Amino acid sequence: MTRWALPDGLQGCRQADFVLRRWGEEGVVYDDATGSVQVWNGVACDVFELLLTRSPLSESQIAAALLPGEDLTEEDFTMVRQLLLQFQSMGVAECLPD
Amino acid sequence: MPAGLSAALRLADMSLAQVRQRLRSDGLWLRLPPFVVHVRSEIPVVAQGLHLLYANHECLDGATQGFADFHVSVNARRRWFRPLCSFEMDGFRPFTPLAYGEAYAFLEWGLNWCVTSYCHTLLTIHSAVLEKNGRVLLMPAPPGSGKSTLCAALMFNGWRLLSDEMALLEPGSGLVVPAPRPVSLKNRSIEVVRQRWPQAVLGPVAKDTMKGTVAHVRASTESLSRAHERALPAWLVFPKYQAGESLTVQPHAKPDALVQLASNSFNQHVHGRRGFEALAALVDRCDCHDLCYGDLDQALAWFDALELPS
Amino acid sequence: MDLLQRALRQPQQWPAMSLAEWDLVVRQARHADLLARLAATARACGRADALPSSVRLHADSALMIAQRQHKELVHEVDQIRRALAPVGVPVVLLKGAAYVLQGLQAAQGRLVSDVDILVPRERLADVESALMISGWVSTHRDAYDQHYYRTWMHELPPLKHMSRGTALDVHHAILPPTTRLRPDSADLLSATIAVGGHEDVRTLSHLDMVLHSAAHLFHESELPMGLRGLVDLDALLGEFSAEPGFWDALLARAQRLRLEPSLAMALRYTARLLGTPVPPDANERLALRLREQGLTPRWGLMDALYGRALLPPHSSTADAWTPLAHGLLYLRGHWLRMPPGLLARHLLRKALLSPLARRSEG
Repeated sequence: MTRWALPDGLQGCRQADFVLRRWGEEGVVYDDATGSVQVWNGVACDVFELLLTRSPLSESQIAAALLPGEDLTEEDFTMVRQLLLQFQSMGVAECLPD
Repeated sequence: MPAGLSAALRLADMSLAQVRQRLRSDGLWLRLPPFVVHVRSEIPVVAQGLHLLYANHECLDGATQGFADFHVSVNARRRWFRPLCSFEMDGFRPFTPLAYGEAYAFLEWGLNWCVTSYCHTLLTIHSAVLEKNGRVLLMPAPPGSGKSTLCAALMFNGWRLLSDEMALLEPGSGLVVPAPRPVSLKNRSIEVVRQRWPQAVLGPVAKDTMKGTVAHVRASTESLSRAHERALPAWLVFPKYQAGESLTVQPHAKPDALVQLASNSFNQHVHGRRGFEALAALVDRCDCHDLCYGDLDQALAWFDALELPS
Repeated sequence: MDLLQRALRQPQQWPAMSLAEWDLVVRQARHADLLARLAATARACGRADALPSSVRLHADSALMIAQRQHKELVHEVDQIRRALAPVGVPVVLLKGAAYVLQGLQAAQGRLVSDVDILVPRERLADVESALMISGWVSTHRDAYDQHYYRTWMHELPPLKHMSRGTALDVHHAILPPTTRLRPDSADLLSATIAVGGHEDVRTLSHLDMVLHSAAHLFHESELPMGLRGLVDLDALLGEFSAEPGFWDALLARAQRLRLEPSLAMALRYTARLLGTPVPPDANERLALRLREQGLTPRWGLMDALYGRALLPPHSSTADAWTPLAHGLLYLRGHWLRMPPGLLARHLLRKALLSPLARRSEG
């Protein structure tokens, strides 16, 4: 089962680098290592908040937390996976080796 | 010239000839709150501009003062085909030389550069800043937004000027620190100000600069006399001038407002997390709007009717 | 002692300094890249309150810049490590980046504008391709400079990262191949130490850091940052000399790496200009070694040249001889690196090229 977490830097987990500020659904993420400031939509903020507070998590755990009490479909998992892959390419999340 | 230092000497207490002589020799020491600046220049238009536009600013005695935040000069550079001038801060020449006629404007741009390059204990944001009823309005804006006309107009309409170009924000308290200096005007706005406010004191006009025709108008006496009063932001407005357009106001979503603010900030990244959180707190505290206007009076009326954020 | 050196070395004198003196100190320090160091010194010895508030604004601002650079540096080194992992070459950091990553005293208030790494010469091609795959590009596009760097210098032409804009210098030796007395890179690389628990991020050993700093100071041609280099040396010596057997080991290592002349100059000038404590015994043994090899420098001339060149590069410290001193030392720096015939050709070309380049950028 693949699990996801916040990325590691040279000095350990980079959790302290990230600040997420939300107004309503949308939010802004700051990465102190790179200085980047970006607006993210509600789902991206929700997933990132989960990683910030409860890493490491599997895709199904993330999906379940996003849609509590609902029956999860293949589409839901795909959406979560795509988001996580995007996070990975941006350097804000890492896939942990099994 | 008064010899003692007990009464604060204003630049206007010196004649233009005295100002010119000082600038050519030991230089002028000026209190430009919150900084002290030591200026030298042999160029006449710089003396004229300073004498007019900083008339009410305090002139200090260099020997007693001892420490200046910035030692600057604008000097002539002779080229065989075109007379030029150069801005220098203590041996650093960050800009390529400009045309000789732009010497006064060069000083103003150079002073802005000094603050944004070397002052990092405060957060600096590229924005116009004015105050009314104890709360501050910020207008971060790219060139061409009509910000300079609006800024001058608000000042003449009773708003206290903190800065026309640069908001200085204390990261801890969230208070904005005033730094009132001449308001820069471009192209059309110079004529607009001249027509509407004949009492306005306009400085040297520089034509054909990179920004078009540029001039500066003296800050109001109230703005200068209250330069020690910091205040909290209440409104973040993104103005856009469009000739012939009627007034339209939209709320500006806070997440995007924060990104705009960060991209207009010269040193948020230097402050790291604390800087980001200070800007987020500012956005949180303010009502954020997009303002599109074609009529200056309509815009002024809207600003005057602004209420404090709930 | 010069005003700035006094301010850096004697914080107990701060309350006695006038505002006019502070004005000069701030300006000299800024030109010498030592303003952040002044702020760090104030904090380290608990005397931040002894600095006038106007000085604190400037010094603290410079320190914030340095601290931000350090933050970004750690991230940058991580990116370099990831880029080189596929070719199995560890990142060996030199100079400022090394001090920061090891958390040394010398890192306090140290401005670090680019990253310098040392790689084995035979792995240079692999390293260059791995870096380019990860987004670094060469900056000196001019064919002459490319040739100069690759043939005569000890490094690749400087690299810049495409999206981050950060600078990276890749060295295969700490002094150029054309230098007459040269330490062996393999020797340096075999003695490296790891950073934090990472085997693939390393720095030179403590002894080699001191010797490299000394060699860099007295062989490089860009001397205006001389005082900053001495401050680095002073900090390194201050921190490492407490290690048992340090001075014996340093002298032995200097002999092995053929860097005794540089070490002799380093110890002489840190002692004179910054008051660095050096055991007289160490100085004597070094002087004896130099005499045995017929390498004793002409101290009178060196003192006059380096004394001026090592002062903070500000108009307030220059005298009529300073441009000449800088000029002579620039020549000396280059002379140590290049065979005489080539020297004139290179300098001539540099003089023509720089103003042209500036004008086209302006």
